[in-house]
Amino acid sequence: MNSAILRLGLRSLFGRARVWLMIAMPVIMLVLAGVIRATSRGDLDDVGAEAFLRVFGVGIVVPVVALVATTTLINSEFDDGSIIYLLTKPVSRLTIISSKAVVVLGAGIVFAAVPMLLTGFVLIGGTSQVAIAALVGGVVSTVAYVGIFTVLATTMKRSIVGCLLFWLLWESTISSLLSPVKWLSARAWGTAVIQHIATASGDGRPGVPLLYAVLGAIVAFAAGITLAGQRLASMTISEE
Amino acid sequence: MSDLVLTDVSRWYGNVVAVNDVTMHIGPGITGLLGPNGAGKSTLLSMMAGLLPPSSGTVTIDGQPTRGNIAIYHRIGLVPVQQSLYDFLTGTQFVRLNADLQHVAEPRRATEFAIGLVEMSDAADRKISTYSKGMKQRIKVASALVHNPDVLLLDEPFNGMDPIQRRHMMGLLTQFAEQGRTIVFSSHILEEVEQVARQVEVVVAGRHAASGDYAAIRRLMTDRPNQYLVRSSDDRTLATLLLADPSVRGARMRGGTALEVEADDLGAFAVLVPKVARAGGIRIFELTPTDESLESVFSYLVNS
Repeated sequence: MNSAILRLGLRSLFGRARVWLMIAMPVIMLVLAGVIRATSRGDLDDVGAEAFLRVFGVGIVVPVVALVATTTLINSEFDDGSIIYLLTKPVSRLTIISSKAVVVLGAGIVFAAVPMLLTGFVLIGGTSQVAIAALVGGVVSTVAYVGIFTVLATTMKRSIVGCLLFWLLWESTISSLLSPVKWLSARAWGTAVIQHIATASGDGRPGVPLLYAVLGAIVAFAAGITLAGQRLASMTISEE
Repeated sequence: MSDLVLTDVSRWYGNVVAVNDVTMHIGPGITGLLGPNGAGKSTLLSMMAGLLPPSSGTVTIDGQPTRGNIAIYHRIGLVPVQQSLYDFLTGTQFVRLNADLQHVAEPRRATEFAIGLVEMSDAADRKISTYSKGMKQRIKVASALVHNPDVLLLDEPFNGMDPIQRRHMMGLLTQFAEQGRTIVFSSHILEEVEQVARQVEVVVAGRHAASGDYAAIRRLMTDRPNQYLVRSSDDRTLATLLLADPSVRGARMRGGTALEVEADDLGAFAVLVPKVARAGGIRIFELTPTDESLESVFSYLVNS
């Protein structure tokens, strides 16, 4: 972990207009939650709240925030070549990529997972541990997404499209069509964690065991960062 | 004092050979890497900076390979040709970032000093996105020397600079060279190299075409035969008359409307043509040198 790169990452993320997109997501989620609460007038139960957090929180807010952060800190530096200033320094490639990943992770926690906690409170207060479940599920799926997006960003040519396709095709579409995909899906893991921790029954059982989901996220993160570091070490840059 | 050595270096991408069997020994002082665009200069600089491995051969600094060896970056400062910088940082923040990553002992002082050297102190607290092209170049140079590297690599460093900035940058490079540093910069502009490089390495189409001090290269270039285009009232007769002179190497009819002549010595040829024309009663309508371009000079150097 390199503090100069961490600071660079923070400046990169918050010094630009796209930070508003990251801020917009949790704001939209909270506003929607407020509207749902206001219009349901007591008909909203913890099952509905938990479903909203699964579908909108884990399904949309987490990946969008992770995507914006990853594309800002990783993809765009590769695409425009400014990564050259980090590569020509006596800092290990693993340190470079892991410092960036930590900033992305931090952004995901602050702009997705914590707002999910707040959304849970807005919807139904603290009952049935839904809010806490949302926080943990948000963190778990963020960790997994960061690992996956990071390795995609460093290994693919059109990495932004690649990350988007991963999210839209694999996570959002295929995973709801083919059941076995849940063992390899950041969204499924986050969703499962919420269902395990919240005592509300929700629709259907958690797809994967709690321990598997948590470990899966950690492995995805570690493996993604390591592979990305190796890829960075063998990366070549030439003007022509 | 550092030695940058390339030994039998080649680099290819599939069937395309970007650099072909180049050997160079670059020592302290300023060396200019001269060649037309697409000659392979940037590829060579990338290999010198460890950003690209040679497909064959070795690139070393004092015996240490530049690739896969991150410790070597303590000794290298690179000013890349890429225009993109961290636009959202101020000049000071950017140079300071480089100082921190290089583990410079007193980063704040080193940053201020480096920025002062390139005369960017006034603009240093503005965001880089507000800088002109020349200012960005200067801040890139500041970032490359904040850690006092032994080897400074600059890819087309005078791009976008006005003549005053260029002169100032050249003065800086000369100063660094006097401190014993090894400086390599690439350019396709003869005059830039002439003004500041002691040693010139000419690279054309991936090959190391010529090496020497500037005067030697210049001589090589002026000794080459020159091409001219002549239009006259009687090209064929003019051709035979010109060929009688030993300074003329060849003459060729071009499409029946012009004459292409190859001659050794510009001065003698300029005297020869009117003399010969008058003797033969021929009128000259046009006389144009046709190979003043750098490309033709370079191709000559490659083919010789």
